[in-house]
Amino acid sequence: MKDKSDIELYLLVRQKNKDALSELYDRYIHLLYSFLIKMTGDEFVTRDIIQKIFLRLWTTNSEFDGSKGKFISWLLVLSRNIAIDHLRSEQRHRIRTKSLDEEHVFRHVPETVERMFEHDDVYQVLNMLSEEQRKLLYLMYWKGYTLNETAKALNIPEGTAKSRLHQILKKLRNQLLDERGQIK
Amino acid sequence: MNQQNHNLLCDDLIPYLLDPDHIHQNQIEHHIQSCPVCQKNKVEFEEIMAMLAQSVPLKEAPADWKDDILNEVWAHEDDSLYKTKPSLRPNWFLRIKNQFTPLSAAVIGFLLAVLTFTVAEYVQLNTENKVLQHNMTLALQHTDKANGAGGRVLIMEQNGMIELYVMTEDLPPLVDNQVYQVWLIKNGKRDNAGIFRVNENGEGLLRYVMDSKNFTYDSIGITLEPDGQGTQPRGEKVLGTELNTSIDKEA
Repeated sequence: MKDKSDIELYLLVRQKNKDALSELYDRYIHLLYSFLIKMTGDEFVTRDIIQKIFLRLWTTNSEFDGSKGKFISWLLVLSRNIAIDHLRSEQRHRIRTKSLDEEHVFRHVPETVERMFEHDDVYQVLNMLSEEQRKLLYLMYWKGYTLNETAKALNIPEGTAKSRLHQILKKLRNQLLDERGQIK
Repeated sequence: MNQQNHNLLCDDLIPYLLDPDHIHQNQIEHHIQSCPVCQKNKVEFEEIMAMLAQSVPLKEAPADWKDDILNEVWAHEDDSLYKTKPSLRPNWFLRIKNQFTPLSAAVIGFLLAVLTFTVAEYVQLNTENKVLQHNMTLALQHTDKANGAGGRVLIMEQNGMIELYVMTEDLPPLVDNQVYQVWLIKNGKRDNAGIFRVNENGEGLLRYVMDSKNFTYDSIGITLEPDGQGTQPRGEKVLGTELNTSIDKEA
């Protein structure tokens, strides 16, 4: 199985090949763990989410279309969506309470962002964002806030939050991808 | 849909990608199907989101998680089977059994045996004529127009549909509007299976889905085309393979 590509493993998983799912686990568990522990800050929650990710891969005819992007990008987007669903259903009240406590939420944001991307090119690009843009990205990407919640937390109109979000993603795209959409 | 609504939905693409419960989720998903700009942006923004995720310092997951997590996945499947099987049989079996006398049951049993034999013969005859017996991985061979290039074709049959994936590497770079185009060939007749482009390493990927009843092709060819508008090959063949030379079959 080790010589098979991601897409071959994915197709075998759809055929209920246990070895293929096991190989996908070995290949990506550390990345998923690192990403999700940063998102949730909780090892038990992270384990539950990883369980759900592999259950989803195994039990549903999932929707990956190899002609529309890389498998790893799809897996990470799927994982983030499952994590947000999980966090929203399990910790809705706690998140909402914290989200409106701006001072509490933002006191450590810049430090967290820096620590997350230490020794990485992405950190250099994130450094080009303003503090307001970084806060917005932190809330929406890492904490799974909706646009409406983010706007309230930042005390700005929702339209302004959406406009800033576009600026951020376009800036990241221009810096990280070339004109053909490939990583620079 | 008017232009204003179209623009509003384009505008909501990024919030939608970041929020799995976006309030206009269905509308935006429908919109993406018909908006090439959003299709391209979606792939690129998902790539950015994946890069953010991959940029965290790697930590090792606890080693004892693997067995627990995968065993729970398998157990979930076993559970589902266990729950459905025992409850079904007694109900329908008893209900049908009560409809028959011993004589009528014997006559029906004989007729069923004849029918089963006939169907088995029919299935065997038809299966022998089919190209595709298994999910297959095929190696693509290069022509002298693409020395050093290679790739694989995966063919999967599921629920009456064929999914065909073409993966290439080391193909020559494209210029201007050039594309690579995939052709499915039977008795010299070529059907268009789509176009793809390659990255700086000559790596490309194409997915093609069709009804399995129509999948009776002899071979696959990939040509270098001046643009993506052709319905028949105009450029040179760069890769290809026969469809009956499986190098790795997965049952």
